[in-house]
Amino acid sequence: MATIAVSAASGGSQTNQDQEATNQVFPPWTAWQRVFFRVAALFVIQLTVPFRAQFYQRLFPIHSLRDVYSIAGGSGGISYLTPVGDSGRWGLGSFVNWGIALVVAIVLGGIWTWFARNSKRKEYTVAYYWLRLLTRYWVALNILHYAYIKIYPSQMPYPSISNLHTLVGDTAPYRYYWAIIGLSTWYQVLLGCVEGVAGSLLFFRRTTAIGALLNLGMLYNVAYGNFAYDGGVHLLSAEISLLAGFLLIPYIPNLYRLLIKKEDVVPDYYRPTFKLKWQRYAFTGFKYVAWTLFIPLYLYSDIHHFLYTNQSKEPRAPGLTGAKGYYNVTEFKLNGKDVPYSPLDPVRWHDVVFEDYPTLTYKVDKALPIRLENGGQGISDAEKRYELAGFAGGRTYLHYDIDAANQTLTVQDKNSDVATRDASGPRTPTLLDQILKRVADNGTAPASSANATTPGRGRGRGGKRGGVKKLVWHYSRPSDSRIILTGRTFDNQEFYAVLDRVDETQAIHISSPIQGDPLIYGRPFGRRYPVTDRSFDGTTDAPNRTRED
Amino acid sequence: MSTSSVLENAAPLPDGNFTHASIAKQDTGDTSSDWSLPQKVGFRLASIFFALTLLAPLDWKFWRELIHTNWAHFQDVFRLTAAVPQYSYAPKWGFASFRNVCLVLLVAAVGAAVWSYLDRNRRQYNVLYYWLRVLLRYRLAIGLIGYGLLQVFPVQFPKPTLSDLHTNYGDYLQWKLYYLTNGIAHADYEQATGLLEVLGGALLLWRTTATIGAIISASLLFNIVLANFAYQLGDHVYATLLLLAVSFLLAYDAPRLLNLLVFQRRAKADRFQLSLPSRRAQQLRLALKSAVIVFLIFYTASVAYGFRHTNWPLPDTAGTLKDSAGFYNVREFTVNGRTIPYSLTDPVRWQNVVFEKWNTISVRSNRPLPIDVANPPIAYESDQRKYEFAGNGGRRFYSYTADPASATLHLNGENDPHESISFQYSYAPDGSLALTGADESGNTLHVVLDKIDKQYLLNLGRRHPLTIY
Repeated sequence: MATIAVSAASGGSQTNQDQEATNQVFPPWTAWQRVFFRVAALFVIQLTVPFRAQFYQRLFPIHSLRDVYSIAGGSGGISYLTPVGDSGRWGLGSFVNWGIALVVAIVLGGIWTWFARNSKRKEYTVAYYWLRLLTRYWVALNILHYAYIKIYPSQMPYPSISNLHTLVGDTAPYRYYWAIIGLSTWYQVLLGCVEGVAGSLLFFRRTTAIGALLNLGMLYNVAYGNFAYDGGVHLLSAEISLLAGFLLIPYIPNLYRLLIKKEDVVPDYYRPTFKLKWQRYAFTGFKYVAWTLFIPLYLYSDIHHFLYTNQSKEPRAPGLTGAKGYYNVTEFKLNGKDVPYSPLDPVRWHDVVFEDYPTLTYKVDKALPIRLENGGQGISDAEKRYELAGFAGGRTYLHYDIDAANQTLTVQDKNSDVATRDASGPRTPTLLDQILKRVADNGTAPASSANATTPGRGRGRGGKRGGVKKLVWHYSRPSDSRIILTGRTFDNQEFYAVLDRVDETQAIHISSPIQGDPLIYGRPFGRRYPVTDRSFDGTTDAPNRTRED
Repeated sequence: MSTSSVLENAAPLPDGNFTHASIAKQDTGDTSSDWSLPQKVGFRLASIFFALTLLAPLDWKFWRELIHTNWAHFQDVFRLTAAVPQYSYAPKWGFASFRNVCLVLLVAAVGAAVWSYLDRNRRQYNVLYYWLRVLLRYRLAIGLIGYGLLQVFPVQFPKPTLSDLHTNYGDYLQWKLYYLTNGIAHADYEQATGLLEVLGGALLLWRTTATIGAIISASLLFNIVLANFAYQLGDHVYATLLLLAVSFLLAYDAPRLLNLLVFQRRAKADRFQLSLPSRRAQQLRLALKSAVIVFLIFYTASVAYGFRHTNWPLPDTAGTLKDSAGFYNVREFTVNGRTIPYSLTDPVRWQNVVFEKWNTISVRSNRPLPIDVANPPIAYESDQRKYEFAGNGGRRFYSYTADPASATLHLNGENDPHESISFQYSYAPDGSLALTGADESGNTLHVVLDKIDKQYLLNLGRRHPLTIY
């Protein structure tokens, strides 16, 4: 739908200099182009414009810049149905809302075409521009959030020591997808920068084509990767990819003529012209505010947030000083009786890992309910479950609170809420759900979505739970590499465990492998995101913060 | 190619478009299509650089490899597609791995200087530029299709083996983790990525679609170069050269694309038309082009055949101990008469054993392991099939032969070729496998294995709630 350099209004002339109230004449579109525009406009509007009530509920209690960003992007669109079943949650069935939106768009578009059949309007150049503006901003807002959490970097942490000691066969496919990027810090930051550039370019009319192409390529890869590894966040990335492709449509005919048919092309794309000065200033002002708000300020806000709050996927408080490592359980007594190690034992610990942060894990040969959520960002360390989501192998992950004076650790099982949650997790109520609920309630109670999480940004829910069972264990450290733990197990038996740290260097830390030369082990992984003291306390920060990610 | 001979032999091109006119323009002193000095010097440098780094036939070792190619094995054909000249020894890692490239850059700089002096009155290199671009496009196409097809028929990133399933995630080198991650992808992700690579390469073969092919290839190659540096895959020099080549190709089209998309002003199409001096030359060009395409089709067929009929990169020889494939716990372990109980830290005791469907056994123990760290070259021979144990720092691998008639099992070390163990095996009534024998140093071993049934989260996936070990 790009215009060709024939029309009167084009030829590169800067018509916005013109203060005359001329009605610009644009070249007419064909009937099919008009129909496609109507359907496309309706479809895109259904996908991007915020229709859900919760968007407006969150709009008013805006206290800080951060709140602006947390409501922008990702909350647009109507969701008609909650897809069910395997395909609905993980596969192509999850696009059912797109399908419905498309059908609605075609039907409404048909009705619109019928009503407009005698209209004098032969093109929608101006409306198309504003539609593209909406799309550009929506795509940019969504991609920039993910760009900034990669730049920090917090989206994909290093694998933890427990993860490095989990078998390949006990690791769910989606963990591979994130772990491989988490292994290389600079790669993640670079990907974040490329995504950031791709998003930023969309704010400016001239660079839209390049930005859209970058977005299309990168997010097509992310969407396909989510299908391939069952990452679960394919919907948003597919949506960004689709809309980026939509943004490229006007450039395709010109590219075809230039590259394939090898003809010179003078492109002419519509730029809005305003008759009144204040309109021009308002529009320019709006654009400056938008890109300033969403490029540098958003980056600053995100990084400031991660520096000064406890929100992250990995726990942040420091663990037991100097205890980090992988431990062999040299001695284990259960109710006073010594139990030797056996890899088939379902009670006697096989090994123990103390992480850099306050998590301690032990392994037994026992079938455990596996945590299969994505493990998004949490606020208190005990609720940060990214490190155990998607891993089997009989490991129990415990969060501990240190009481150095009494030499005790208060431990709680991070997987204790397994009974109250399932893999898919409850979703935001969709349009049909709300309508049906209203009908069912007979209008007695308003359908509230107050307890719903932000959709499309990962799942970090702990779910509602009653008191978590906590145990108090006593520790003693006779030497640097030995820890003795005593207490009661979760089965209420007395245990006594002597842990000796294993001096090992795993192959994952080998850098520059040259066959035949001595191996060089790089620095083992540790938390490498920047922090300030305040974010180390491991507890909730500001009370009115909404949960996200 | 002097202008006068072209004028004499100029033949009209099929669509009647002569270059005659543009050459005549130069003769009349019209300098509008002249190149600037930086462009000319840059072109001289680039043409020498790319010719020396990407033309494999310049290296005599390429001809030796060509003569010894076994055309029935796609791996040999693949090595031809990925060949680059190696003028001197360069180590595989670190800055020094770019030694050859830097050497060529130096030679190219000197060569460009000499050429600039000899050709100082030259006004433009339009025709030579065209041929340089042809060289780059074809070399890129061959290289990209060479690698791409190894993913379309997913042999480059195979599915994890049973030994892999029983190795800790942290016991792998990072390049192997990258390969494993690609190997476990469902939804034909590997095949689709390979197809995109093949498409990008194929589009480069025709002038009309070359720009689009270059854009697709550039984005893929950018990611490949980054991954090579991030995970030390081993091909960073080759990938960087290809990325430089595709960037050079894009630079030709960049001004017109930027004019069209960013500056939004007149974009001039690529109007260069090649005029070949004679009919014979045109036939030769067509013949060479067809030869390349036929070669690529043949290569596709050979990869397809190799994928269907061999287990490459894993060994082809089936395991000779019937129904032995699986995971075994080592219940008893006695060495030189001393029985060692279960232990995670004992430097000798075997902890568990995996029998593969082919003739490989892997053992987990706390014995220091000579890890095979390098990403193995792509080769067909069975003694070159190191992929299954390369990069694995958690298990010790052996190839085995079993003779049911004499109930013997013989293990040959893969990580340490000096190792060899000979066992007599017997099955106990409870199903456990007892192995008694001695290793190459004379230590007597007695090992009792119990087969264990295990479920793998990797295979079960996350779609339904699971309670498993």
